[in-house]
Amino acid sequence: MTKFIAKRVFASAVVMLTITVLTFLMARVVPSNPAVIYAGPKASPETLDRIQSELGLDKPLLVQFFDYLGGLLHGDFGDSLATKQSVLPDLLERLPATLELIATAMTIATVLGVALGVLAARRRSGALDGSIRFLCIGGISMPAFWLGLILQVIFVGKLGVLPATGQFSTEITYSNPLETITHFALLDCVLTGNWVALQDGLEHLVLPAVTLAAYPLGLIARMTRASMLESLDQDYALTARAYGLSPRSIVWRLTLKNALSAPLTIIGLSVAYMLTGTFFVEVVFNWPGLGQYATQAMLAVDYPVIMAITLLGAAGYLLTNFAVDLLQAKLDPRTRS
Amino acid sequence: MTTAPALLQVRDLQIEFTDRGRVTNRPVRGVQLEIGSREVLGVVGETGCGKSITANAILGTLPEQARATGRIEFAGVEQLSLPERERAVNRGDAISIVFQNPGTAFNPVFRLGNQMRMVLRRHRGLRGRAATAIIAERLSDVGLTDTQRVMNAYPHELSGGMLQRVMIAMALLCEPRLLILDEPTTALDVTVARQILLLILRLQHALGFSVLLITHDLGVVKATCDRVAVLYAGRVVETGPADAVLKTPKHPYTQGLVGALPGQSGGRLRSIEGQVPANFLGIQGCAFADRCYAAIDTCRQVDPDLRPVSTTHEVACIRGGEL
Ligand SMILES: Nc1ncnc2c1ncn2[C@@H]1O[C@H](COP(=O)(O)OP(=O)(O)OP(=O)(O)O)[C@@H](O)[C@H]1O
Ligand SMILES: [Mg+2]
Repeated sequence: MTKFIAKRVFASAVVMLTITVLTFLMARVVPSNPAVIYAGPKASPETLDRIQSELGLDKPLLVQFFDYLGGLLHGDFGDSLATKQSVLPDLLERLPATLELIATAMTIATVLGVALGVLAARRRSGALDGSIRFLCIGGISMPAFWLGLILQVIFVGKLGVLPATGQFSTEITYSNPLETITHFALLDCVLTGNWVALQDGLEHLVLPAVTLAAYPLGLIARMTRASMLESLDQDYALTARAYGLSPRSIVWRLTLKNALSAPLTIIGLSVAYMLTGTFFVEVVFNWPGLGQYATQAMLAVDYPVIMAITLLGAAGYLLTNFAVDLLQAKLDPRTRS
Repeated sequence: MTTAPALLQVRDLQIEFTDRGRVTNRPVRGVQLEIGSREVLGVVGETGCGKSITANAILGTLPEQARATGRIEFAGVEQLSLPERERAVNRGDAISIVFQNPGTAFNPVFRLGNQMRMVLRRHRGLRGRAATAIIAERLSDVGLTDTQRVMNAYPHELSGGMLQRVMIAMALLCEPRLLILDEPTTALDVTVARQILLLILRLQHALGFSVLLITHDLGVVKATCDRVAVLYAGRVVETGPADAVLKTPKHPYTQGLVGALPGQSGGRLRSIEGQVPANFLGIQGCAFADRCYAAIDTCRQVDPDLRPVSTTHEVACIRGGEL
């Protein structure tokens, strides 16, 4: 097991370095001069020259890369070309809201997806199976921003039971102001016992989280169903039945563990979807996460910010897939060797 | 032969597969079986004759599309009319089964000890140390000495022969009255197969359970069984004491099988031409008629029932007495 982990850590480090090289090169290949973006369109040639050397753009590419890499190792992602501010603090300020959203969506997608998949498999070809299939196809095929708008129309416009946008209501800032401890807003609510704000925050979280969860939920449910059916068809499922175990424990205790491997892979891949999907969802729901920051950076070709977000996304992706692999190995002893 | 009422009595068992109300197959067409207490009954027949599915019906683990009719009496209680819940109570407890392929019969992602624990918890409500003690005892009964290691092992970590021993230990956990063995040694190599069979016999003597042994191998029947039932196309065509049936087979099908028994060249040696029909729905008359050396016209019209040729030996053949 230790060897397995060591191997994976090494592989992840190599991938991360490769991605750093690639994003760095891509930023240099983009046909726009960072100095121009930094200085603005009306800058004089002298100013441009000065800024070029300030940003280190006149040095050889290799030197620039190692400067950048050296910065990264100290947690320095450089300065934003648009705001002229260091990227890292801006990133850290917005990251927790995005992480909260993604984590919630991932939890919804996993728990509900697996549960629905198992139920569909147990009631194969029944009405429940049919409705779940319909739901999954809906979740998979509907674009997130579109689903977000529909949910807003229904739950905000028609029913009026949930707030439309934002992370908290404005009133909360006055009535029950948030104290910051971890920067994770909901966690801080719990830690400070601010239950009013917690409820308000959860209400705000529901729609964006469900919107973001829809696609992976559909995939996970479909995958779980297929892999459950396969697993229920195996000899060991018959053995369990032949030894009197109840259908419920055969499904939920025994065969589910065999069947989880495939949906688990999907869960790992879904993280990639969520990292980009969250940007759309955050714009639709005016969520104070990385989404709007990233969108603005992309439109402005603010390459230090774009690179920082790319690297962050890659790290997140590698980390979750690492976790998935560990879990796989935990679930199935045959994958450990 | 058995004076006490039989432990298991199967009467006119029929099994049908249906698909949306239409019957698609009838793999078992009136099977009669009887097993006394402490008796070892062999069930033989070519592949596809309905051996496993009969065992499944006795256990109550038929697939959803299958429906069984007739009577299955176990310890005096008719089983087919019982609700599924009550049948499940017997499975792994009073009636146990050992499958053909130990490599796939165990769940690959659970430790063997835990798989056995689930059975004990289900039927005896035991867990923890009490369960471990019983499991260890059974494992050493089947000749596995390093019980701790076996309990902690995953199926893929043990050899086929060891796994089959574990399977037998699991089957015996709750001290069954009837042990069904569905080709328990087919997946093993010859020496291991011998050891496993000897083990089963030894345990049967010591613990006194009854055995329904499904096999292709008449040599195994000869060595282990008190009585034998020969199955062909979903019917018992001959049954009786193992010695009598193997020495003086009355049904042409049994005669063919016995002829195929290596080392048994006494007299006629007939290999059976043709094969078991793929589907038994359209069968008219005796199912074996097309492959039979002795078939007469009546054979294609009448499907004979079992009739005694001696006090204990029965055969389902209209010419059974004369052959
Ligand atoms: N799920 C099923 N659906 C339809 N028919 C089935 C199904 N399972 C078994 N059968 C039919 O039942 C018949 C008997 O099968 P069974 O498995 O009992 O044979 P067997 O005598 O055990 O053969 P083998 O020696 O190969 O194990 C076969 O002809 C098969 O077509
Ligand atoms: Mg079989």
